[in-house]
Amino acid sequence: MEGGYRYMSFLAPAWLWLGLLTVPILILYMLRLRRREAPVSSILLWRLLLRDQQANAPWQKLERNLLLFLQLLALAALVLALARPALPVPSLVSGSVVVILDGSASMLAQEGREGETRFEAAHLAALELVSELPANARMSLVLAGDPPQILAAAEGDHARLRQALESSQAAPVEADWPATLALAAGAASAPGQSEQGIEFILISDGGLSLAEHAGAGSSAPWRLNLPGRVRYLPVGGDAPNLALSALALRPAESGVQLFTQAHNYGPQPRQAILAIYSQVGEAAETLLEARPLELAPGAAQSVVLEGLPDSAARYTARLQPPRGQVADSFPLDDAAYAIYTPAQVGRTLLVTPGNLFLEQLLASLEGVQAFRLNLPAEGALELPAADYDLYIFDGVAPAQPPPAPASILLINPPDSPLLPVTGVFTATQPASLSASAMLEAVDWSNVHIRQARQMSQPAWLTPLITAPGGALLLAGEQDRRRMAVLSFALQDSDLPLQTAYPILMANLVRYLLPASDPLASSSAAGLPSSVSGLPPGFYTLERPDLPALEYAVNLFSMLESDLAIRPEIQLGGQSIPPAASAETGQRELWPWLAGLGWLALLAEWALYQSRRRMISGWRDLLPAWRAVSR
Amino acid sequence: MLFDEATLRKLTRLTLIANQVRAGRMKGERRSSRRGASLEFADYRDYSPGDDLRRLDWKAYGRLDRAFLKLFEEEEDLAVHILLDASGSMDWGEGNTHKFTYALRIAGALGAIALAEGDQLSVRLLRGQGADPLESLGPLRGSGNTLRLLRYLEGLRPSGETNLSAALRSAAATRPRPGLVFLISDLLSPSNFADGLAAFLRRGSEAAVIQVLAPDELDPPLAGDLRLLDVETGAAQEVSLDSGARRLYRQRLEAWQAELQASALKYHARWATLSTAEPWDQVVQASLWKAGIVI
Repeated sequence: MEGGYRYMSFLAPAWLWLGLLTVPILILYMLRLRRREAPVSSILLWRLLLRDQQANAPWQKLERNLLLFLQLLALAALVLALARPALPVPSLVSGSVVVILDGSASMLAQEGREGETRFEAAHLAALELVSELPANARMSLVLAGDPPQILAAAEGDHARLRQALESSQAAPVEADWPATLALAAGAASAPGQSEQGIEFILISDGGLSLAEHAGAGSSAPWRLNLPGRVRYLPVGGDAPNLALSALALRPAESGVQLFTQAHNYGPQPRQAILAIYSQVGEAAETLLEARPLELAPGAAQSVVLEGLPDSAARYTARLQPPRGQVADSFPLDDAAYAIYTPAQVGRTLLVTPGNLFLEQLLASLEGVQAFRLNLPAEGALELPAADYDLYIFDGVAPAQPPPAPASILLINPPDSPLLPVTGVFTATQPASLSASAMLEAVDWSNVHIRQARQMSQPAWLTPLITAPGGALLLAGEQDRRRMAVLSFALQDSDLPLQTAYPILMANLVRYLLPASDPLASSSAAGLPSSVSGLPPGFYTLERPDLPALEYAVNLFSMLESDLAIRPEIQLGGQSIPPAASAETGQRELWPWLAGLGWLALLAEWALYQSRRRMISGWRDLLPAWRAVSR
Repeated sequence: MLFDEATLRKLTRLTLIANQVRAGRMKGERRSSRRGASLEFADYRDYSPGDDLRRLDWKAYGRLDRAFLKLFEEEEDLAVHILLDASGSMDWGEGNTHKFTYALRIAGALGAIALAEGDQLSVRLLRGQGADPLESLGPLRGSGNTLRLLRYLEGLRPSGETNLSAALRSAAATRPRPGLVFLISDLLSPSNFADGLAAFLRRGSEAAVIQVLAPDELDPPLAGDLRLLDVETGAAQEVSLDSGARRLYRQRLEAWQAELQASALKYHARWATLSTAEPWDQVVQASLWKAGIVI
């Protein structure tokens, strides 16, 4: 630390010139103090009195000039406040800074004596950083979550920063750290934020180290990195935690099979009772199994229940402490939820002049009950009155589309009001595939197509496979109806001979018949991302004109359930230890001085008023004296 | 007139008290162990209840139908000295509360009592550095001089700056006859009056100090930032007065009076503080009686 920083400094010393206002105040005081002359018989006693007063205390002398003193005090305090004196204090913050506040689920662990969460501790640490923020420095606040949020961007106003912090809350989600750090890097380059020497302060329990390791092995590796110096401010302690890390259901030959797993993330062996309940409709929960578990540190234990009924039911698994023990500090992962819905058979009408590839494939797909409609030799195509869930038109097109919400798969469609065809193209190579669940595990590289139909597709149909000549596969949803279009005849391609064919068709049928997927509503990842951040439990998604959808939300996250405090984090390939207050920040004193100035002004006004009242009171009481003094 | 006939009659019934002074040379009425030692007639005076009936002039009573008391040459008399402060500070107050007028009335009352008693009276005016012989009266004796006394007093005016101690020394330097000394003053003088008074008392006199103060000197109705002007010296003093300062003034006044009284008592002088707000005739009959100055 340089010697010059040891003492108080002024951030706006030019305002000290206002101290010259002392001169006019003194002049005005002297002018105002033109004393009234009053004759007395003798000043002997008054001199004796003044001698006593001066001998008594300097305070009495001061009291006579108290008004002047208060005026000068107010002026001095206000001028000093404008000059913004600042004291050097040890601080983490020495300039502009981006503070990343971990708002993930693990920050909801209750560790304090009064049940305070880690996030509350992080919140206090962030408030402390705000108070240490030097003058002219700016702070951006980023809340790590899913999705992350910018609470404040390049803000210098401490009140606004505190207000932004007050509005922040942790959510029971796994933080999206890549997005969070990208947001933080963006905040560093926000207008008003100087990029030079900017620092990032991460207030967290350190849960992102694992994320980096996990990400390194994935198909889309990413490295946490930030364009500046990163400091890590750890919060929380080593909290033992027992968590349910999985709950899943699947149909099996012997009935529905339930799988659940408990994990001990603490350093000590733990015991718990795993209770599994089922609930059908609005009926009360039924206990299916209660099993004592004994878990070594870091160990996991699985429980499988077989032969459960193949009917819709809600399943809940709960970890309960043995008698005499208290629950751990992180209750969010002590329960897991799952919904089982039996696979529904999708009634499918295949309208085709004859297509062996399609018929065989439909016969092999689970959850699909296929019917074939022979094309009439002459006349218009008339669809049967019976309702089907999926209509597949192979080489034909209906005059009128089937009633919604039945799905439609068009293969090699002719021109029709449903989908106008403008021509034929042969430039089918190379094809580009978009990222879609319908193309998952589909290898299109060896597929060859002789020709395909060119269509003027409506905007709601999205091309999924596109060749230079036009779209080969399109899909979309309109008016509660899902539709997919293959723009070529299967017979004009070698697709039915490729492994991609059954995979693609199974994906398409799953998309077009969502109710036939037995695991579709048993969500481990949670609700659609637009409503993420809900605590674990059962949720019902109600949509207009559609049946309500039940979802189960769980927190199956090793990253969030492992509450062990990380002594250091890995970021940008470097280990970052916990930060210490080694920097020199500045604590501004102007609010105190401004307060003192206003108090002095208030006292001066009150004293002046009381003296005026006293003098006028005496004058009113003693009119005779006025006559004498005249 | 300083006071009317009726007041004068009431006053002449009073007697000045002197405990130690007994060196009478002339006729008088002072009750004394040596009373009636001479048979030489000197004067008459009106009879008053309580007088010795043996000394009543029965012939005169038969001739004039009025009771006179015969006074004899050798009867003890008393020298009474009234020292009147005529400094500028005594010119303070209005009407009946004017300090010097009030002091004149007190002096007139005491003088009338003395003359009625047949005592030897002298009045000296204290002004400047001493007692001006031109402004002195007496010695006088006999009640026939009462009118002269009152006219003399009515003609006096206060003015100028007075050094009370020096004036008293100057008065004592004229070697007055030992007797009863009345000092009537506001005592608002930087010098200590007790030093000058001691010069009188060394000659065997007995003193009574009567301090006269106006009401606004006892509790001044002043407030605010003031420049006080001394009417006696013309000196100025700047003060800032509030209720606290006025309270301190009253405390200081009481302490100052206590100091003066202690100085007076050191010489066995009697002490009375009079406010000009009090009716002066009642003061003579009540306050001075209470102070043991008259009976």
